[in-house]
Amino acid sequence: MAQAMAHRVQRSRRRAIVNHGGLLLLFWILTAISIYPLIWLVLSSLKTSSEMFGNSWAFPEVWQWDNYVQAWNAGISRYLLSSVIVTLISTLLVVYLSAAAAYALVVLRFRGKAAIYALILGGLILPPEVALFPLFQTLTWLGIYNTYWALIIPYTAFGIPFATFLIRAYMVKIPIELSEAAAMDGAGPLWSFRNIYLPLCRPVLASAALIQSMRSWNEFIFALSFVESENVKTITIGMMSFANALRSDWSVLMAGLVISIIPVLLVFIVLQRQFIGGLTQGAVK
Amino acid sequence: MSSRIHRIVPYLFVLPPLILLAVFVYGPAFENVIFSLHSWSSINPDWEFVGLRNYRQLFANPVFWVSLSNNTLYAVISVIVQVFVALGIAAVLSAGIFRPRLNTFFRTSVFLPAILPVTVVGLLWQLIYQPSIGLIDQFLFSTGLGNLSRVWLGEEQTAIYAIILVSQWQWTGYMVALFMVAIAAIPTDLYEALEMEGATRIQQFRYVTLPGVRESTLIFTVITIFGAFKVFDIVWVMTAGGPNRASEVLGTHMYRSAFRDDVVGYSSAVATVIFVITICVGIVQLMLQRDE
Amino acid sequence: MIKLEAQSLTKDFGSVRALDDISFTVAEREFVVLVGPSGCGKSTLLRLIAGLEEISNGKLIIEGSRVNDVPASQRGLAMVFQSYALYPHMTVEENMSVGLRIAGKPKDEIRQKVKTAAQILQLDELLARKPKQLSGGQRQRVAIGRAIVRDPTVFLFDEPLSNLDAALRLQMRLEIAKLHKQLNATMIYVTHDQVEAMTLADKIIVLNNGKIEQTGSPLELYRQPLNRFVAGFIGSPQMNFLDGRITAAGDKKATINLDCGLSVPLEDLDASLAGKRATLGIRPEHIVILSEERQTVAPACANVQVVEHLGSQTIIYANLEDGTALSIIDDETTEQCPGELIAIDVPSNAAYLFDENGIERLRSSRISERKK
Repeated sequence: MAQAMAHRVQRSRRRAIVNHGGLLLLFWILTAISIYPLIWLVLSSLKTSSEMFGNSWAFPEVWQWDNYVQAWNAGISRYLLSSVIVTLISTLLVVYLSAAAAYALVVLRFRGKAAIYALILGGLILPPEVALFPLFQTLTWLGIYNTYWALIIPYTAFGIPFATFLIRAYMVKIPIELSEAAAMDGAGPLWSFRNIYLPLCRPVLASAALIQSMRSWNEFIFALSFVESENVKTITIGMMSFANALRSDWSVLMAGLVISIIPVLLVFIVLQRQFIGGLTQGAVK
Repeated sequence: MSSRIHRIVPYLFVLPPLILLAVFVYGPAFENVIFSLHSWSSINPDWEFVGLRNYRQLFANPVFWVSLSNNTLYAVISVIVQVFVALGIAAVLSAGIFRPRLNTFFRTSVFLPAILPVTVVGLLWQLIYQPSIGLIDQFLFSTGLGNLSRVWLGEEQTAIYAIILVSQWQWTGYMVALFMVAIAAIPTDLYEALEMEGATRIQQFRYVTLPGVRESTLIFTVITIFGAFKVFDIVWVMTAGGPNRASEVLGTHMYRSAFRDDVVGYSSAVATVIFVITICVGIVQLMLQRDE
Repeated sequence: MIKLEAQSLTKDFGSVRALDDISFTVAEREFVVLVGPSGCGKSTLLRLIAGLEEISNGKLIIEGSRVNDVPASQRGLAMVFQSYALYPHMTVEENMSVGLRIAGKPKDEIRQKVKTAAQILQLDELLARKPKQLSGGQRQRVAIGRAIVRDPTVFLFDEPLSNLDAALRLQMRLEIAKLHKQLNATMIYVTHDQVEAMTLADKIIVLNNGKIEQTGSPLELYRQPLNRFVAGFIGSPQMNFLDGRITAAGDKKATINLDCGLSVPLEDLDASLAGKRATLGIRPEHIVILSEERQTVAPACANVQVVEHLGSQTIIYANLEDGTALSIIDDETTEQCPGELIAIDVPSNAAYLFDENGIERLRSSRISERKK
């Protein structure tokens, strides 16, 4: 929508496409700064290490696909799998639990609603760092330290406030008569949540899911602190071990980096519009 | 009977989030404050109430002050780049100066770094900053500026700047996208009315765009400052606070104290300071918003 | 048989009393219309009945059992909303079958019932469409269809026609009336439009400021309004109200001297009103315009402001000498012009008298007598 608006603005004021050469150059430089490091990364990952040092601007003489094979075998696949599991489960939990909470906050009537909403939103101002060590202890005490749950549960808990805020903002725009009509049709709250509100909220659920999966996928400090075995490490932390192990073999390391960003990059390229739209949701009133 | 069940049902919807928040968000944050008043470590698990001793130690520790000033530097530069520069870029991209295709290409390109995991960004830039073989030095040598070359991440004077630069690289495009959404929310007829009066683009920016995004700018500034005082990951990946703790920030200082130096009480005091700072920023935001 | 009964219902929103001491009954197959100006509490009352709002005090009885604490989903009622409230992501067929699906009815039965309802409402062709693809009138039909399929104890309508244009509104009004007969259904219908109330209802309940002003059949309300509010609310254009003072008089004969100069003799007036101020009510259709010959007798003159020719009748808006606005319906297509002076008479046998508290004192007493 944002883009459509922007284009409408553009169309209405097309007169000055000329004489912006300086501006154009500036934007090309900005773009180059933004994406050249990535191009360099991809090119280097396909070179031999010595070629990379000697001639870092050029295309590879021989495309070293073997770097990718080596990186993959060095354990990236395991980290990716952990990341996928943790991201998937935490995202599903965040979206479902937040949607349910938002539904109750918007549609149902009960005492203490405002206080409960304030309590949920309050989670937004607590930086995860502040809870780091006590959280580490709680997880140890619960016996889930160094398991997927040590990441899934904190990701879910810290993801709920924003997702609830986002979904609630969308739900309040759905006419309340729909839930009343459902009640008149004999539906209980659970039915109208599942069959009316969830389907109607699909766009915002998608945004919330996207935002949460980005958060879970890229999360760092919990992943660093709450798991230690290689087979539960997610890609963000796994790459650190990977880099330490491969200090000397740079081009393989770079191949590993490329592999680790391919999933996100693919989604981004395919769903570019929805992606930027989704990630900027809720930031502007 | 059925009416009693009816009354309980709403709470079942909000209960799971509340429990999760209580146990994994509020509880730990509260415990953290308690911890900060005790001397305690995993090797010596005896609790000892020490009052504000951890805080006194903290304020006497030069590393804490280095961290705090690094965070402040982080905040200042981030606000300049990610708020003001980003607003400028967003205004140009929203003004329809370039062809739509090109416009989208520019926007997407600058946004791209925001989707990358911070580890990848950190490791990538470690390579870019690498002396003589990294991209930066190669660029300097090839343009005859070789004498400017230095060990960017290895020198105390440059390390924190090098890291901050990477953050700007990663997040400015994201802020541009946010600003573009804010600008798109400004009614088009405001621009048209001004254009009818023959206003230039600069004047349109000055009299419509700027007032239109005032509130968003405020919010984004706060978000940026929040981020700057909570920063941990990129610093940890790139320098882990080195060299010689010159690039330490509060986040890394806290982490190192708890998980490396095993002084949990002290670490909790650092965490509390981070929390107090972010709360203050939040309060300032609320006050500013009330003034509007 | 009594289907639904309200006993002294009240509803408070915080410290505001939205409904106060509401009592009425709805008999089987009765069409009851709740009517009143906006904000009078009629929609709130419907929502109390539906179970969408909690009852603060009093009792609501449906088919013999108290349902105050029964949630909306279990009261066995169906409601047609002003905004139709169709589920946008479901087809017409799905929209209509929701209630039965929730009740866990067998598929064949559901299909059969939806089909029957769709035929009644001429929706057969539209079953696969989504609400977006329907016109306003069609959506309205689907909303009604959804209610029919449920086979509810009582149908509830919340201003169902107010989102339609005038022509469609008339058509749907007739269809709802037909439907009521065809289904032998019990219906409670909320509207602010007195014409809808008059044309549809077996029984009208007039609400104002959260209280019932009067309950009765359409003609009862028209002929024997209990108070000035009901008198003014029912009938269009509105009844004319002329202020005056009652002269002292003998036990059976009294006269009201109107501020405009007219005197109207009154029969059967309570002697306690003598000497008090009161308001005379006269419907536009009962005012008589005097022809030239009889003008000598004419006690009052009115200055014509606007004339509306409706064809079969003419509505004249005029001002009396003291400035009181007056509307007159004239069945003869007399050619009055703005600015003209006309002589009028107020026949006392068609007049109503409202005391200082707005209570009708001439005719309403007669219905209460008759009821006893």
